[in-house]
Amino acid sequence: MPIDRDAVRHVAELARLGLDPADVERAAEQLTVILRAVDELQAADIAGIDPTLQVGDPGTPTRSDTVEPSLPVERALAGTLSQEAGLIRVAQIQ
Amino acid sequence: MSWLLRPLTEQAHALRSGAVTSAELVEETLRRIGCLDGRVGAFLRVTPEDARAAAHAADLRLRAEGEAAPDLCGIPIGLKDVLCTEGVETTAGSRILQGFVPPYSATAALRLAEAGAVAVGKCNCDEFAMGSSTENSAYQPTRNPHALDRVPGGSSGGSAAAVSAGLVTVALGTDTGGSIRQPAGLCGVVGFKPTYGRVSRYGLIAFASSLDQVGPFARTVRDCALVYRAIAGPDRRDATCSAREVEDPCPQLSLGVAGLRLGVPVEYVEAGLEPGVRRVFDEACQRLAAAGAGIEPVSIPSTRFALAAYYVIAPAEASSNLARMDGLRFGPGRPDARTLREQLEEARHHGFGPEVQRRIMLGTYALSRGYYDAYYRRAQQVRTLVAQDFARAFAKVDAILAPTSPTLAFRLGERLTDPLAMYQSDVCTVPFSLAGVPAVSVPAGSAEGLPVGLQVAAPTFADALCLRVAQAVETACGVAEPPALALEPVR
Repeated sequence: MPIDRDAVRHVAELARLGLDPADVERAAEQLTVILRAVDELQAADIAGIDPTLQVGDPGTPTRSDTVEPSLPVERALAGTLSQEAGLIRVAQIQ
Repeated sequence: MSWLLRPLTEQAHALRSGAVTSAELVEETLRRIGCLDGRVGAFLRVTPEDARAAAHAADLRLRAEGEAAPDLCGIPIGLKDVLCTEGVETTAGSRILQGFVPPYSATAALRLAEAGAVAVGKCNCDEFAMGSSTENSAYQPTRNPHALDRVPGGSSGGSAAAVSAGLVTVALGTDTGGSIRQPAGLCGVVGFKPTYGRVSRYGLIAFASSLDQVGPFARTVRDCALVYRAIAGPDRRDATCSAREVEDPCPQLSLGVAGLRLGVPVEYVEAGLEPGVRRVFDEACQRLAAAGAGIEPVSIPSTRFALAAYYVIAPAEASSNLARMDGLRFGPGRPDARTLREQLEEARHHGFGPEVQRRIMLGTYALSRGYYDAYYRRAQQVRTLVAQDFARAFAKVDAILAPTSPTLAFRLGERLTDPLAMYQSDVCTVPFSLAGVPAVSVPAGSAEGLPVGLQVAAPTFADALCLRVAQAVETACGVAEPPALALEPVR
């Protein structure tokens, strides 16, 4: 199914990609081509078939719920753009 | 011939007999990288001082422990740049992580370090492992050591090329839809994607979490098995890592294929293979038959839907995983932006390359309201069909044989502007990824002077059997010759 320019702008906004207006047209063309190929999925007979979310071992292994040492805050924040009092500082939220 | 072109097993023996030291192996590695990698581009960064210190420690350990030292002790290795390494810049081939120095190491990298392996640097890859040619790296393309005008495959093209050119003995890569096997096939080395959940993903920068798996590249199947044995096994830091005990593949390697039933999916060989790939594949099957294997056709009818399902599921997971790349927690960021929204949009717009942006948009679209059922849920249902098809096939046969790539290594730039053509590179590898089964690419011959890989897949957690059959392929077809570039004198 084709994806139009408005839809491209919408997903780019949702994903915070800051897409240039000039790139919207090209993205719409490329995504349309890809989605046409992906539309092959619509021909699959999936009636009554459960989705697979995870392969490998079923379930989740557990461990004891005990507090253990973790990464010190200053090391965890070492690569941040800006920090203050052990927190990540960001620009104004509008 | 350079030590680096000899099997790990031979290097390990020489390290114990005193014929060579780890320090000498590492100096040879650094010399070879200095001399050859300008043309190949396998490494994004080399860490000579860390490597020399690790080699010194390995030599002391080899002296103290002798035969009891781990197989990998003192062996030079490369690590794909999506694996976090404490204190060493890790970028995943992306601008958005430029300058990121992780405060911890990936479990797989740590296990190799604990075994005494010497990491010499970080290998190039497609940005966030998204690609099949390593041209999507934000820093440099990697070239195929067998033909420098051709791609090494991807996304772990740097790791594959590094082993192929004899820059390191072994390397780690990651495989989401074929990113270990396809470059291994195109570069003429062995590349193994273990069962999903067999190797910890802790410290691996996530692309598609339900598919990503870490695995080794090496010149021989036995070397691959030794690395796999060192990195596989439970890890309390990765909840998807299996708690099952790891079956040691090494004792089974020489058992051969006599009496085994090997299936060839008809859908893989019916159409789309280049003639050279088809010829090498057919000849390898004949050799395995001569070694006593029963070769029989099997059918994986869902094959026609597998690539489409993959290119919904992987981008959907990627769009979620890459949300954390905000330029705030790590990476260069945008300190001059006025609002948080501007910070995010500018960091991501300038930080992500075109393919990553494309896949994020595709994934966001597939997960958005109104399209979720038509794309994401349907793709997951098709994933069930693929897994069911393989389960049916493995009820009939012990392992499956398939070509690794439908084509030989293609030229740089050839598919860069045609995303769909690039995605087709994964057509033979993706179905096994969706099913989560182990699969390995082994050199099976060459066509037009370029390597051709054969893929062996086995049932879930039958990783040892997968490597056993791969060893039989190697025995039948021979270890691939290194490229001419790797044999050049190095000073």
